Amino acid sequence: MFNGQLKILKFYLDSVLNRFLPGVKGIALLIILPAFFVVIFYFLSNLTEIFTAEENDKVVEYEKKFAPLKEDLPRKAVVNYVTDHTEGYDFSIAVYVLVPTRIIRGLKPQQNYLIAHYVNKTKTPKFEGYTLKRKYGNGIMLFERNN
Amino acid sequence: MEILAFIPPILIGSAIVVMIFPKFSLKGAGAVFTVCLGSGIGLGLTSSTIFLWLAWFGRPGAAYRVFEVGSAILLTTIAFYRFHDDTSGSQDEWPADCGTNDVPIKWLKRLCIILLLISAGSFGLKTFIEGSYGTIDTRITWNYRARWLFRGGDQWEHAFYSPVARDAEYEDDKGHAADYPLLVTGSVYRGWEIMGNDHFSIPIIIAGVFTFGTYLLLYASLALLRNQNQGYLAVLFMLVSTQFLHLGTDQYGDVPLAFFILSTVALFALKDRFPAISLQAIVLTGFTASCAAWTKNEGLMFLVLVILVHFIGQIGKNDGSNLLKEFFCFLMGMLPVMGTLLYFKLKFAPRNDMVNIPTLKQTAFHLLDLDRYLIVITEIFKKVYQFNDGIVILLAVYFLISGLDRSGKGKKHILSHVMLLFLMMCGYLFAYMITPYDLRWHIGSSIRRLFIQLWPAWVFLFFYCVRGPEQSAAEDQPGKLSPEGL
Repeated sequence: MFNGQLKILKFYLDSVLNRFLPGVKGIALLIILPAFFVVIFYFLSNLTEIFTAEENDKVVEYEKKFAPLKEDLPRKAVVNYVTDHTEGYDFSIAVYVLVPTRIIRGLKPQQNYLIAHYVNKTKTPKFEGYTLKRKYGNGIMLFERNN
Repeated sequence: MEILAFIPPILIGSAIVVMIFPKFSLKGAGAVFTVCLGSGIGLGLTSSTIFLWLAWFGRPGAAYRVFEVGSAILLTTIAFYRFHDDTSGSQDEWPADCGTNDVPIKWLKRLCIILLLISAGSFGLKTFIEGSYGTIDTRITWNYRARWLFRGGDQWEHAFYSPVARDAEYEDDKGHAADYPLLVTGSVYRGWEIMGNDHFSIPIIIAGVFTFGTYLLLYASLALLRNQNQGYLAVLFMLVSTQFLHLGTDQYGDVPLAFFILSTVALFALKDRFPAISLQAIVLTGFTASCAAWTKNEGLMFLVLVILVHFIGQIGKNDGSNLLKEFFCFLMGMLPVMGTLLYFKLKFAPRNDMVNIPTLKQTAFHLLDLDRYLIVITEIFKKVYQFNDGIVILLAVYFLISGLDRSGKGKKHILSHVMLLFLMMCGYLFAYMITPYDLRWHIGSSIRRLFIQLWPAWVFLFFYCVRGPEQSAAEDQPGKLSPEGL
């Protein structure tokens, strides 16, 4: 009797399945249904992330910030780089954005040019052996070695 | 406009596939297979040619563009004549009897296409709007080196500078993974050189080609080997694995590597299923396996394992002269890209940060550390179980209920494909054992990507073996390809 009821249930489910999703076995729904919901949910969550994001793409931001500086940097030189950024991404993005200028973190060994990227300081920093050459706004400054 | 830069490599690669398979390569699923595979091979070849041009002749200019476009036109012309020439090639390349069992389920096809388009929308949102420049590895490795090739002028070799291999002049003046092969970097550089500017869309388009090329290649190969419905189902399953798409948007080399691993496995499966076209398929596996090696160092391991499993491992089991012929064909396919890889590794690439003699001397003793094995194996199993929120469990349940497909003689070699992927995982295990980095950090930062490299191939093998979704037994007859189904 239990078998009979099971068969009736299976027949009913098959007929419902055939009405809406003809030609496939029920087991295929194990893949089809998750695909339907996951893909749509993933799209909507990406859309939501974009509209609710507080920050823009950092590389885009750095490309804009460093664009005027790049014009004054000697091509293919090695340049010192100092920053008050505590975020790990700052240096790697600066390295990427400033190619083909090679930058090294800190003041040693001293190079002919020094880039200072200070977002939290209002006063112009001073570096021994360097003179400020130009300020670019957004906390970016270029210093030149004195001799 | 940037999309125009991709026409020559797609034409070159597709022309090669059409020349090798003139009869089925431009019909239905065969056409999808041709364009996807051809795009990958084309990008592999053009990334090699542009690197060689830069190394031998200097910055590629108008002459390179003429060379590339000329090659595309020449190869396309030859492919066109080959396609239309009924008397060229052997009739045996295409099995004569064709069944008509491939009846695609229309709503399934439409659903697959719609969900692929929505996924493309997700891809576009994540790349063009949210993160145009990828993530950290993109800007310290893949596109960083491409920038040096493009902007570096006569100092372009700085793209391969790494203080891991040489005495660092400055502590932070370094690239990461500078010895990585150049398929992705070279393709990005090629796109920038052709367009004349380093627009962010070029690496995004390359990432898109490989990400969606993988989905479509999965569909096409299963459509050819089983039927279209199985192909649609496999693609729907891959779309559930959102981590694959997510990694594609990061513009790393893992998704292109996954593409080439899938294409190699699929070509070997085609070769086993249709012995009449085995030599032709083997030539293409040479291309795809060498492109895998040209993408990432793990691809080099894959190439070695392909030779081990499919050639050395067949000694004594198959006819020796046939095996030699197949190996020769494989070498022919491998030659162009492998030659470039060898040249790059010998002349430009710095020492690998893990596989080098000083590091191996320090870390060889790790191979005797049983606790380390336990940690690595546990983490691998945990990753398999947790991957994409337990998607493997979905596969297991599907298999338990659906069962194995028992039609088709070609599946006799399925174990060699499984062995190949399993050995790749053993290779990853070995890499973790000898890593000079903190073990847990290294596993945490990379295991997801290593798994994704093999994921499409595993999905392919699964859907190759499991029974189809149709209510009737609408399976292809063994040894036949169906042009209606194509």
